Amino acid sequence: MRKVKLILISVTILGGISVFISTRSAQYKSFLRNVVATPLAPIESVISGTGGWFERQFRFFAEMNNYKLENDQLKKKVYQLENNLRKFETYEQENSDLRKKLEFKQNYSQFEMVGAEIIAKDASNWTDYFLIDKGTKDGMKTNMVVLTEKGLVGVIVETAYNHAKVRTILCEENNVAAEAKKSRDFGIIKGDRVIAENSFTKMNYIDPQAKLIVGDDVMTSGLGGIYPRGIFIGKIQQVKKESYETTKYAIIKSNIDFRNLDKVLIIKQVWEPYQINQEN
Amino acid sequence: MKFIRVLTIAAILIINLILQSTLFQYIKINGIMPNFTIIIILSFALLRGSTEGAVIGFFAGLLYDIQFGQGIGFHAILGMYLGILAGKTTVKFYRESYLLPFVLSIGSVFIYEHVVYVLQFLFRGNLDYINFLKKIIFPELMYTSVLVPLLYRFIWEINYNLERKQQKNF
Repeated sequence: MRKVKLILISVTILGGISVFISTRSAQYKSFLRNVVATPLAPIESVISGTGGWFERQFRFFAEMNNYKLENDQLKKKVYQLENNLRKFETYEQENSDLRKKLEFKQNYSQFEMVGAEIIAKDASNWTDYFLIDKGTKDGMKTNMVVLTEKGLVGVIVETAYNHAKVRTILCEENNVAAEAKKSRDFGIIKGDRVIAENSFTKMNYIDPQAKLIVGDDVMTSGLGGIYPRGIFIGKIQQVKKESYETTKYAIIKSNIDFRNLDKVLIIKQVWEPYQINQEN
Repeated sequence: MKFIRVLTIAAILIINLILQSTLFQYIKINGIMPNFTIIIILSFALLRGSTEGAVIGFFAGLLYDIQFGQGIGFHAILGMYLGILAGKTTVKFYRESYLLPFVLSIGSVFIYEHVVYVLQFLFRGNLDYINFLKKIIFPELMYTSVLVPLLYRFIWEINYNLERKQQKNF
């Protein structure tokens, strides 16, 4: 009995040490990940793929009735958009001419992007991590930014040989320095588990004098070093002020449906603001 | 024939992890997934006692930690203690009864998730306890406990076959 207790206590202490080490050392985590999780990644990839395929077929039949109606609407819209496109093409020409004159450097469009598929999503109800099918063999590194055409998804936090772990903006541990587009107010976007289900996040530490506009776009501000400036995050849904706090907070709605997300883009470059500044 | 036993349980744990992170994502209700890992730990602890429960709980937690966890060892230790405590209740209990696993699963999800809440959220300054209880802990508890009889029966069957093989060989 004493021996059992001894084993228990030592395992608990060792576990505590392991938790401590893994918060400090990325190498320790990625070593264990490579040993245990790397062989599982291909299996997960296959299962996710077939699961997604079945879901798409199911949805196709379920939404059959809407297709004709949608088709008519889309035809009208295509006509409108084509008109707009012609206008925009002239604008674009003007814009690029002007930009050349100003020698404007837009960092965001210079970044090289790679696509990746999500192979596994978090098996717990508390956090929102997922794994993608690109790893160190494809040049993935920690702190690379993950996004889709609809906005920011998150950041790579761990890498292994054939997969990488992504922390989404819905996680409570994730902080993104953000900026409202029109009112130019800064804040920090943090996940909130309770409202995360419908792709809501919270923008904290906003100046109480700030004049935030509901419906305004929120972008990354480029402060803090991980996320480059100007990536769309979401729209302001609500602005609130807590009575005991000296700051405001806003509820931000992301356009991404995190539950059905299956493909993402990765900026294939770790953004280091200080280096870029030196180059400029 | 201990080897076959270890292999079978390892396979169950790995398959559980893979399914939870892939296919079971589609059975989420309001973003809540049932916690199969807890049922597996509980079932084995009930059928085989504290020691095996502790070992299975430890490795189930460790697998999760490596795949998705932030600190490796956190869920492993939680799982280990869950296995020990559940194993302690086996003193007078008919294996064929579903009542004890059902009641125990409610209790252990409740305690387990409270520990996770306190250590991962409350200590980080998130005081929104009522909403966590309403939106995560209770739905998960109900969803999990409904599925207990099914999974318990499955593990009972596997365990029965393993034990019979063991008896034949000795």
